[in-house]
Amino acid sequence: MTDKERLKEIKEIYRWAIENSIANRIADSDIEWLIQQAERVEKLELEVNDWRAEVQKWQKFYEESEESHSETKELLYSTISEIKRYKQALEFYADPMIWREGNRIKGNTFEMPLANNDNGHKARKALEGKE
Amino acid sequence: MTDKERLEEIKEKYMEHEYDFNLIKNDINWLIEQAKRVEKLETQYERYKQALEEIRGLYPLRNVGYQVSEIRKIVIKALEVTEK
Repeated sequence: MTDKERLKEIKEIYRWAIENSIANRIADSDIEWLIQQAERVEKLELEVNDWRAEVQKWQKFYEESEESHSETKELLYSTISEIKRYKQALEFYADPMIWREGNRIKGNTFEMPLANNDNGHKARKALEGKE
Repeated sequence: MTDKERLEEIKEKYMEHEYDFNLIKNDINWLIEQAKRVEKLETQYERYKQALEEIRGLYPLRNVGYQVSEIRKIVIKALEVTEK
């Protein structure tokens, strides 16, 4: 008989005795078993507290890991965005067309190369973190 | 009176009156409650032990992201059951 079954049986016998107004007589072996169970409570509570503390350590571990993961992700997104800005700026300055002069006429004068008008503006914006 | 003291008192009463049952209804009820607590504590004990064994089974960590999420599931399940 398992402990669970035994406890159930004791409770049933006890309830039956009460319902039938019979003296609360429970077998000595059952009382002894109940006392043994009561003696186990204190030790078991301490053990369960230790195990719970151990599980809670792991809870802390995954919470910290998630936090660190989230920070890493944030840093990664920010780095990707930075790279994208620098790439766009580099592509602008790498285009030979913006360095050519005299290929377009505005009024009576040759238009200055686009790079002259820009005067490093795009590079500065990219470094400042603006598109 | 602490649980420990109460248990001592019950044991003394029980020993003194070995052939004359002397425990009152409240004593029996209390003993039954303690036995129920043992049952509950044993379940919790097993649950925590199982969770820690499952976590140990995940080591060594190779795919950390996946394994941390597995640890999370195991821990939440173990702690949730305790609350019930």
